[in-house]
Amino acid sequence: MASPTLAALQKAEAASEQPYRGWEDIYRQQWRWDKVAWVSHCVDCYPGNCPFRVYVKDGLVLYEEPGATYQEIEPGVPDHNPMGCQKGAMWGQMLYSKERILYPLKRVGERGSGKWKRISWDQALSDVADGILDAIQEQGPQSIIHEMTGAQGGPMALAAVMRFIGLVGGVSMDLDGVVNDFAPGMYLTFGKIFASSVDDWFLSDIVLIWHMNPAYTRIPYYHFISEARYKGAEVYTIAPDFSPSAVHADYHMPVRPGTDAALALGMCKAIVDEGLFDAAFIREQTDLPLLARLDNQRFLRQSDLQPGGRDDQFYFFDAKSSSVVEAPRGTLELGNVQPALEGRYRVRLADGRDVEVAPVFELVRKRLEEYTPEKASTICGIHADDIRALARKVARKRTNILLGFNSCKNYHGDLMERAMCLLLALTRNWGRKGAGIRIWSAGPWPGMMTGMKLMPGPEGAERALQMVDAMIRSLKAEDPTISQELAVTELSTRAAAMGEMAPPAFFWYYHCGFRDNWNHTEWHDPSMRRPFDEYMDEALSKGWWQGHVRPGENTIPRVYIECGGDTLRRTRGGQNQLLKHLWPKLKMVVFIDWRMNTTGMFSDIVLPAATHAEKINFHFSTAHMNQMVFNDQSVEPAGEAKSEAQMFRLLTLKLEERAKARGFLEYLDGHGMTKRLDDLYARYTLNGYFDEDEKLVREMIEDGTVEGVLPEGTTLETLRRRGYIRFTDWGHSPMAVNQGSDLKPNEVHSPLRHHTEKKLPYPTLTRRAQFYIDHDWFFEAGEELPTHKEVPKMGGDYPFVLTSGHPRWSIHAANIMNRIIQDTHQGRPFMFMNSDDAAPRGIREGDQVRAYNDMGEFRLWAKLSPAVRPGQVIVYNGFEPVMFPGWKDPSNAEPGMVKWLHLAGGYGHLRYRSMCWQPVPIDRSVRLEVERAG
Amino acid sequence: MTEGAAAAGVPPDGRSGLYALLSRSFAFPTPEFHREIVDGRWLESASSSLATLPYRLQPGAAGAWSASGGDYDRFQSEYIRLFEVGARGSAPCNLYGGHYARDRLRTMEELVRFYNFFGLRLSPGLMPDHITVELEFMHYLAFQEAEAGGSGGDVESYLRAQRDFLDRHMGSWLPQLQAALGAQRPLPFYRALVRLAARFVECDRRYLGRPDGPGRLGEGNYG
Repeated sequence: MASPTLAALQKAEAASEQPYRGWEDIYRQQWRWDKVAWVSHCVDCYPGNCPFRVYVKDGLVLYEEPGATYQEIEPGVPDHNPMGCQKGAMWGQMLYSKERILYPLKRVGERGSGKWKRISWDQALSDVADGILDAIQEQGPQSIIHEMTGAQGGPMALAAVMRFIGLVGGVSMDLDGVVNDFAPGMYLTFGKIFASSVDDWFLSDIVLIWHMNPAYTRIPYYHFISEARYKGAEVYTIAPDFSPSAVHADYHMPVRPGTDAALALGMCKAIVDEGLFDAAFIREQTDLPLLARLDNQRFLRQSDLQPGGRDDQFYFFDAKSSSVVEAPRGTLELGNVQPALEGRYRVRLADGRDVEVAPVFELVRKRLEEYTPEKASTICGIHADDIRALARKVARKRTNILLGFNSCKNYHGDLMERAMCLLLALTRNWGRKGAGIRIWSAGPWPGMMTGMKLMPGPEGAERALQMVDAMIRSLKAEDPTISQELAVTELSTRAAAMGEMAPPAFFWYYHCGFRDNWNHTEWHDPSMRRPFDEYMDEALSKGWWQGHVRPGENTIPRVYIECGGDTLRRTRGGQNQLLKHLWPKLKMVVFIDWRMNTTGMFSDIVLPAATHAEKINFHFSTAHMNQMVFNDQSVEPAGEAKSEAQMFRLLTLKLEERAKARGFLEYLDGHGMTKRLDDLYARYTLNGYFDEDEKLVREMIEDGTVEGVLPEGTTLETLRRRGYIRFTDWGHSPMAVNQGSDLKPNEVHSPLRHHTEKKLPYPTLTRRAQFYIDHDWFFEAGEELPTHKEVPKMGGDYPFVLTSGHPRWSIHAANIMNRIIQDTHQGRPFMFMNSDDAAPRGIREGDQVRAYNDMGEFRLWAKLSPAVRPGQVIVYNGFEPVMFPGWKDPSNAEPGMVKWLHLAGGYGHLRYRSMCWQPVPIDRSVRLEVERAG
Repeated sequence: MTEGAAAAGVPPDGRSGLYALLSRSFAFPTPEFHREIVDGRWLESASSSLATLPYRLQPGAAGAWSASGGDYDRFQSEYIRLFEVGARGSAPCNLYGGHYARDRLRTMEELVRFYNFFGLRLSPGLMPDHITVELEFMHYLAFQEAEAGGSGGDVESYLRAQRDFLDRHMGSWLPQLQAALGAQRPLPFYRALVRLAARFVECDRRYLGRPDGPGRLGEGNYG
């Protein structure tokens, strides 16, 4: 008897015994599942960490919902539930989106032409391996570039690719340098970056939403802000436009774009004049009582007073003993010393000269004379009475500056942040619950020991831990005044030069055409007295970036690996810069992702990645949440997709095979270390032990218990059952340790309590929160103290400033093509514009407009709104360039400037380490003109 | 042909056979498939199935089925351009029916439940709304219908299922696929294939929906 020909379908359980009567018979089968599993959306929807349940039928995720199972952390503080946002609630739409890549592809037309052919995994990996070997043989391993984001792949993807890059000697471009969520002003002040947990926001009395838009970008946690109001908290938004978050605030301060430093300094001036500052706090915690020489404006140092003295030993004037005394380096405890905040004193230098000195606070007072509330008002546009009123509240109440990742993308964002930090310093608003400032910050990483170990099992983790602890002890022996935090910080700084991560600024400068942009003097602040090239030359010749200029000027990049990111969308300057300057140099662009994006379209080899629910993974851990949130593999990857970990295991095997076929087995990496290719797989997998993703994850969890970051007894099964578990400690991850507080099971996390409660020093030059930067470059620029400066006219002298932010409807570009979400906005790229600006230009709602400057142009559609400040236009980021006419998005008009001062080094904490001090790209307040498109 | 089907005078290869051929034809082309088109065997199979339909449907001119020059690499690249990746990051002519609905997950769920009802499940790595799967399901239902007809089984159940399936799924989105394809200047083979599939499904919907029942007026010209 003939049978139907089944290939796509197969016989399974018996057919229904009932005859088919209508589609309702199908409908009644809903709510029957094969399994339910925990997932999280491991993209960098920061802070994210939302546990979701997925419901699986026939190997497909067909339904999802937030787990809503978080427990209350601190009694009296609301729990985090339900978590999730509209993007997460329909992530399945992206899992099965039109942009999904299912098979390995190889380009057959020009890059960007959209002409591909399917190839097998074996052929794809062979091509990639050959490309890598060609690059190593021709230019050396630093010609292999990885842009470190991993945003779409999650931490397991990031770990997989970075381990590979490290083993072959390639270069991973520092994530914080690439995306710029690094706050240079916070770093200059504290020597580190950090964040409170989001439930800490509930404990604030004054919430200053500054450079942030949580109604759009923090949907799962916004409730902590609104709940705080039930206990009397007041919420301010400080933004040029009446932002979506302003709608829900008590006050909106419409600060003129780029003048936030003036506002903050105006408040500081009011506080100082009215005697509202907390003298004890600034004496103990900051550099404000440290003595500065008035002859050369520098800190008074031991090297000034004694031949051969230290350059990092500073002084107070003790009001009790009326003498100049050393400021302790190992503690913030003052003992019997009462450092003066005022006055002028004389000291005798080692060369016999007498010089006058004064506490830095005196210099701050002098600087603040320029920022009376009346003067500040003329700069920032906020009424002087409002400046005073807010200043008085901040002085009296627990104040939390919810700093968005907007400030750091401003040219003078460092000055804005330093001014905000000064405001908090004067009012004792950090190092206690409900107070402080924050920026992007990673949390504990249970995989740290796993990545370092040389043998599997708990013994391997123990040995890795012992090695790290031994290095820390060694540093403490070198300098007994350093704390555990300072030792971990120093270790990570020294290790940075030997690792695979590098700041992207040099890569951009030498190989991506940004040198020309950065030498456009008129796009810089006028206080940059010399050409940018001269600062770069000085920084390099003085060795400030020794070991971090990778790839060097003479190493041509040949292979670019994009794993979970979209460099052509995200890089300021975008296609304008990279396609013109970088792409022609690349012999191979490897794109690894679960969805096609603009960078994918311009690549040579496309490798389909498994996405959430298709691979075992975690969410990126962050101090904002302090939970390890689990993502189980609940379905098989679609098509021929693989997890990144699996891909790179296979790639190491293929690379070994191809290397052996060439007889090319050994070479030197950029540090002069020998790299071998004949045992790559063994080293990548610890002799084959980590040959499966689940095994690796299981080991990471168990190693986390060995390190003490996870509760004893935590296993993979624990996470499969619960979906998440709270970290118990920070471990040894530098950014986690830099939180500077104990992680307690029943308390919110408020950073910096080690400094305020245990009096431990900060990782700065002065070991204190530092407002005075006595570096030559900072003096030259007039930025030795926080100040306000106007934003340079980047892009040319045009009337509009372009601002941006993350939208409500996508996490970066991940959800931008979700058609259901597109129904909640225009579904196409659009620009917010004030009606009063549009009318004279003949622009009506929905018109296509052309935005342009000296750098480039882009077209999109106008959305008129009175909530936008006149002179401002807003384009939220995340729209894929392919959605714009001609594929030109706003990055084409962004010069991608960096501030020259961020090249400064040779000074205390102004040294590169992972995701910290480095020049970072700017895009806010780029200048534009806008006209109606023909 | 089964004994039952022959006894009923219903050729089992007709509708069922054409659904099976179309299902196979929308899969990613292998070199063997490409050769089938180039040497004319594909058109022969299609014509044979068309000839046994209970209504008239023409395949169109032989030239319309050209694979264009016999170059496999170009042929598969064209498939990818039209149906998988496209020149803007997503396929301009999507072969997943769920992408023509507002909520693909709901579409996929209904399809999975449809398949399950008839004792079927997806083969690994496939999506339930891919045109190959939906066509294969119609092939299965049509085959079962013919078998039931020949053996005195419940034909109505299979007829209702086919009708509902075409109304709620393929029948509604195939015309959209055809319209999308028209804007892409595709290779002749794929233009003709989508046109044939859309016409066949439309004819079949009308055939299944006839008040006097399918098969009663076998000479109707729907093509």
